[in-house]
This record gives sequence, C-alpha cells and structure tokens, in this order.
Amino acid sequence: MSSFLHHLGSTLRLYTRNKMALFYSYLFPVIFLVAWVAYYRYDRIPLLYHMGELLTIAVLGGACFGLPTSMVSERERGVWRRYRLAPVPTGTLVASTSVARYFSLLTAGLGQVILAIAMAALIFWQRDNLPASATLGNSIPIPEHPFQLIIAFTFVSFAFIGLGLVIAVLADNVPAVQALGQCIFLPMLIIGGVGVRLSALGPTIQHISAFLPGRYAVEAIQTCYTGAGVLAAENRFNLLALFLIGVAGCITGSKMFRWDAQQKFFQRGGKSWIAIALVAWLAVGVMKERQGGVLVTTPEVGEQGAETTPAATPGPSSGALLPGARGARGPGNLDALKGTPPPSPSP
Amino acid sequence: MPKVVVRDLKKRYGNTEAVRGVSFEIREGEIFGLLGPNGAGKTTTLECLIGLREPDSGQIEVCGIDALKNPREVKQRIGAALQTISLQDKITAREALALFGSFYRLPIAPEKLLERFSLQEKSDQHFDTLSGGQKQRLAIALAFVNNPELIFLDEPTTGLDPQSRRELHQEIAKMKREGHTVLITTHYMEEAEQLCDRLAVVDHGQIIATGTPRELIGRSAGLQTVSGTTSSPVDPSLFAGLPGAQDAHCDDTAFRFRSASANEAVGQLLRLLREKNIELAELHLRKASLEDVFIELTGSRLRD
Repeated sequence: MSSFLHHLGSTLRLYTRNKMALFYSYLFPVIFLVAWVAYYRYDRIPLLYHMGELLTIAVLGGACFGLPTSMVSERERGVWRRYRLAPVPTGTLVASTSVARYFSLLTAGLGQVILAIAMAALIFWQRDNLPASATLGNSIPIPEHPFQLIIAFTFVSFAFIGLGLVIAVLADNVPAVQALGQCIFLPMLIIGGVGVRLSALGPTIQHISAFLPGRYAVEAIQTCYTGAGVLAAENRFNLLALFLIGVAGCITGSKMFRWDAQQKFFQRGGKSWIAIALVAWLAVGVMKERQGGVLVTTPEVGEQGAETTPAATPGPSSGALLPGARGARGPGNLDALKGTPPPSPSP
Repeated sequence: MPKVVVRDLKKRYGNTEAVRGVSFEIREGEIFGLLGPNGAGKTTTLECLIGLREPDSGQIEVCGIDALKNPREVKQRIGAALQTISLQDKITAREALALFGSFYRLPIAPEKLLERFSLQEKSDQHFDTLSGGQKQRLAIALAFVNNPELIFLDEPTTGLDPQSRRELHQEIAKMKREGHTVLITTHYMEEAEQLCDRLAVVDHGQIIATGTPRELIGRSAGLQTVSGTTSSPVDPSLFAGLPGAQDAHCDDTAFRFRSASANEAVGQLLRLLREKNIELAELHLRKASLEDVFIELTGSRLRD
C-alpha cells in the first residue's frame, strides 16, 4: 500500500510539473468548450445538452492521449525499466498511475463543469439582459443528478483509462501514441456520437456507433444533466458497456505491459491479448443491438430552447438526450414539454 | 557461501546469441568485474541477474535465493545502477529517494543518502538540472535505498569526466570496505585492474578467463609491450625478425610489438634503426597489462 500511495503521490506531483500533461488534460478540453459555446450560444440554456459531449472529450483527451503519452515517454526514458528493478508488482504501479490519471481527469472535468456554468451565465446575462439573481438557477448547465454524474464520470474515466493503457502498450514511441490516439479520437468524435450528435448521423453510422465507447460515455453523462440519471433502469446499460470496455482495456494493458522501450510491439509475443479489448467493444455493440434503441431518429430536443419540443421518441438509452426533468425547470420549458410522450424504443 | 552463483546462463535475441553458457560465482564482500568490449554480453548477463531480462536457460542464485523463481525476494536484497540514468526530468533527488525507498521493506532515510552521496545541496533540484556526475551519484544512491547486500553497477563511469570517475571509484571502494558485495561491468581496463578483486573476461557472450587481475596478467606468458616513434616510417617487416616479437603494428612513424625477450628485442631494434639511419624519437617498455591479456585471449583489441 505504501508503494501505491507513494507512487500515486509522486505521479500527481510530477503531473503538475508536466506541461504536456497539463495541456492535454486542461487546455485541450477548454478549446472544445469554447467551440461548443460558439456553436450553441443561442440554446435556451447554453451547453446544457452538450455537457455529455464536452466531458467525454475532456476524458478522451486526458486518458487516450495524456496517459499513454506520459507512460510511453517515461518508458522511452527508461523510468519504467528503473521501476522494474524494485520489488513492486506491475499492477501496483499501473494502478497508481491510472488512479493519478483519474484524479487529474476529475479535476479537469470539474473545471469544465465550472467553466461551462460561468460561460453559460455570461451568455445568458448578455443575451437576455436579465438580472442574475432572478434567472441564474434556470440558465446555467447544472446536473440534475450530481452524485450520479460522479458515478458516470468515474465509469467513463475507467473505460478510457483502459483504452489509454492499450494505446500505451501498442505504441512504441510518443509519435505513435499521437497517431493511435487520433485513430481512436477522431472516429469517436465524428461517428461515435461525441462530436456530432447521433441524430445527425445516418442509420448505418448509428449502428457503428453502438460499437464505440464514446456513445455510452456521452449518454451516461448527459442523462445525469438532463435525463433520469445513469442509475435509472433504462440508462444502466451505459455503465455496463463502459465497465466492460474498461475492464478489457485494463486486462490487455497489464498483460501486455512493456517496461522497456527496446521491447518493440511487433517483436514480442502475447499480442493476442489485444483481442480481449476488441472483443469487449464487439460484445457491447452486439448487446446494444440486441437490446434495441440504437437508432436516434429525432433531432435532439431542448437545445434549441424552450420553443423546441421533442418531435419523435428516441430509445430508452437515448433518454440522456431528452430534456426530461431538467428541461422542465424553466417556466418556458415546462410549457413546452407538456404533452411530451414518454420515450419508447425505436425500431 | 557465494553471494551469486550463475550456471550455464544463455540468452538469445532473435538470431543473436547474446550470452552463451556463462557460469561464475561471486564471493561475499568482493568486487567482481565483468570485463569485455561493448556487445560482449556483460550487460545482458547483469540484466538477467537483476531480473530485467528472463534468460532462455541456466540457473541464477542470488543471496542464496533462486532468482528465477523468486525475483521479487531477490530484488529486496539487491541494488542496481543501470548504464543509463533514468528518472523523470522534474523529479527531485529527495523525491526520487523517498519514492524508491517506499518500494522496499527497510528503506534508508533520504537524508542519510543525500549526505552520503554529497547531494544535499542538490536535493530539491529537478533531475534535469543535475550534472552527469550528480546524476550518476543519485543513480547509485537509489541503488542504496534498501541497504542492499549486493550491488550491481553497469558501466557506472562511462561518460563521466575524470574527477567524477575518480570520486565514483572511491565510492565503490568504500562499498567494499563496508562489507557490500559488488558486481561491476566495465570496458575500462584500468578501472577493472584498480577496483576488482576478481574478474571475468567476457567476449562474444562467453567467459574466456576468470581470476584476480594479477592472476590474469600472470597468464600473459610474460610478454612485455614495446612501443615508440621514429623520425621516419619504418618497414613493418623490420619487426618480424626481432627476438620473440609478436603482434607488431606500424602506423606511419609509430610502432608497437610484444615480446617475451623485450630487452634483447630492443637492443636489436636499435641496431637495425642505426643501420638504416632512422632516428628513434620515443621508446616505451612496459610489463603486460589486462589489455594485453585480453588481446592474447581473444586475438583482438578491446573494442570501445
């Protein structure tokens, strides 16, 4: 335990001194936040219906770029080789590195939440010219289920940290981390429901998105803001999906762990462990397809403001994208949502 | 009881046999050296001993423990400083010592190590601001965090300036005085001769000779080395006729050969040079060294 805590403390301390790590964890997601603010500044409550996307991007950046970049650069420097001389199990050091990353993601996520609130408030005051005290509570993106948001964020972090560990074992050097990270990040952003809303994508792409963890991450977080919460029966599948992907990533990452930069990926055995990570993605996609509700056929509601009403009925797991209880907070929304049919699975 | 017993150790990288059946023992309290050129298999042998590499076959016993079956228990008792000094740029010496100390059952306090290795003034400086000598001292301090019975040093003085090298030699000698057993790999002959109680000469993955430096030099058939320079180039065939001359090398005006009858050979060389009206600018005669032993054993000069 002492080894774990010392290494955790040391990793966190060094993390604060690493400009690259700070960039990926804190500045990188802020760039997206600013872009999202620019896009969605005319929403009834700015950013409220996009917090799932923003927080998922924050976790993706820190876990799929930041974590493997620091692990691979330390491996290239020989730091992990030096650790290997110590009588401490691999699992302890990998676990403490992962937990340190989780703390950093948590602080980055908290920063995003606070920054989103601040920006939304600023937009609202400027746009509507209303006194802050009268409207603030109904004008800023705050989660409907804050404790469940922490749970959802933890599962999302776990899934992507697992993915980060897989990238770290696949990449022989830091440029390879960037290349592999982009191979995961961009598809997730474009066709995985993270950067582009699922309803804007065609049915085939939506089916593909069921095999990507980004979709479940966005839904798990978003439902804590605007839905019934991630622990609600119709949303629990998101947690299961993230958990399976995370476990598979951690197993692959620890089984194929490389201490030494001289151990090149293609020159070593045990590559079949990669299959575990891929099988998890596949299994989650198949389960989701069997469960139904993959297709989101409606334009996402609520983000257009109180005037917008849901036109169609997305599946249960897409409930995160619905305004739900949170959308009814303002008087305008309450009116708008009257008569909204309960969500039902789409074919 | 020996501190280290290695039997028939073999390690292969692809088609390359890096270690080909190495066997040796290290006695308690001695400084044992693995001497050989780069690529001879010294580092691979050492890395198999300390658990960084898994050998293909062979037996390794360290401090009476089977190192292949109980590597973690062995690691509790040994300390090692690797060839490259590898820590995060922004970690301080004090933090590194505290961190690595936490991995062991009975760590030494960082303050004591900072004092012993003269790092107090640099204790809170980031690793990337330390000089080469300071980094090497920190690497050795890290090898001491668990007060090890056995210390492994992989080419510890490579790349150091003469002063840092001298300081490190003193430190290694101090380790021996304190009762530690030390295994050092080096390709510096003088270092091996000066520091080691016993040596194993390694070449092409095999041990080709073992003994004390004196014993090894004693095996060199009493050959002495004659070297010098002349005022003008000399025909190399001149040296072939000298009494007992071997391994003659000529490079422009410089020459070098070895002989079991060095006095006689020098006398004849002087006569021949006088006959050819060539002036002798420099002449050195020295007894056999480890390098000579190595040349004798391997038929080649030490490769750097």
